[in-house]
Amino acid sequence: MICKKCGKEAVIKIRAHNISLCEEHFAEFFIGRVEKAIKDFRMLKKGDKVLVAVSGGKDSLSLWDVLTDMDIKADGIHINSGIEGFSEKLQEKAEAFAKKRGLKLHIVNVEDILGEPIPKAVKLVGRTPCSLCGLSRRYIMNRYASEMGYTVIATGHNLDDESSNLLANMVKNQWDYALRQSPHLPEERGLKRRIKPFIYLSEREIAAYAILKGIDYCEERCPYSKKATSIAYKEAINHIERFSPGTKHRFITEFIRSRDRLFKNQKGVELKPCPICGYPTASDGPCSLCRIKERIKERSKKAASA
Amino acid sequence: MVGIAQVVVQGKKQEVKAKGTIRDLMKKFGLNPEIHLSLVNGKLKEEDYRLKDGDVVEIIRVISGG
Repeated sequence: MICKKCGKEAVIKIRAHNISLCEEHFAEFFIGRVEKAIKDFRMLKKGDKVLVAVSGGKDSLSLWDVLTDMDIKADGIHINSGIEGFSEKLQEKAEAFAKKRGLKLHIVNVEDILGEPIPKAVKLVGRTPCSLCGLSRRYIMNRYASEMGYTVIATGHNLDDESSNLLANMVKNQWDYALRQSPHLPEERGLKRRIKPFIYLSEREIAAYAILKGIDYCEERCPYSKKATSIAYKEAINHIERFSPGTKHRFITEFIRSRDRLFKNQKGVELKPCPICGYPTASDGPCSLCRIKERIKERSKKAASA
Repeated sequence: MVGIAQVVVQGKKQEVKAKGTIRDLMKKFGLNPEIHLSLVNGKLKEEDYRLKDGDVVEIIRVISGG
């Protein structure tokens, strides 16, 4: 197959757009999709101070890379979950990338916030690792962005993440979550603005970009993600995508476009500041993270005295 | 005469006849091309690439989650 733009040998076929592209024109296509997302959802304002959530995987490193190439100045934050044999590899990749590109990277350990690393915290509080890790990450990102004066947090969430999340929220009848899904979450009562510039790009396209740009990312999967149901939803929606190219894009973008009309009477969740840390929460008492921290403290004490 | 290509799928290495395309290989292994990429001799190749004798094909699963 040859590149639709120049006739050179193609390196990738993108069925959703019915095109095959060479290395050069794929890079052009990729940047174009990021530019379109930023423009369509008014993700960035003049004078924004951008903080990129950098895990060390392909999505976040590619995001940091492409934003830098687009002359959008962005610093990174890496959150180390303390998963032995895995977290250190991710941190190494994030640090190496920052060093190579001369970018500023902040490192935060979950343990410093929760009191325990994720594997130990999971055992103490009985939550699933993915939910506890996600909750801690969102909390840390928001807190550090606020404390360090960043105006917006950019994450590597992509078309696969967002469309499979929407499918999962619908299947589980979690409409509160579905209605909050957006590539651009505005700032509200203590929550920093969050943007997802990869909303128009699939994980396959992002992986291809990372490979072609020689981005050294961590290919290893989190040992806890093997049991994650999110993978099953991604496989399911990609099964439909295979037979009906463009499904993921249509599913998420049409939902975003029509939800205000369909759910105009639906009230959003009201957020209040947590009485302990000030972080916004939907609950009347302390936020989820403060409740978890308290439980960890209690159970650690109990375990130590037993 | 049909040559031999080496294929690495999900970390497992095996030998196959060097005939047909990467798309045929994905079909043979029951893989969805929407969540896989192929490297041939270390270079990204499109699914229509025709296998040649001595090729080393690595099929990478690209979805992650948690």
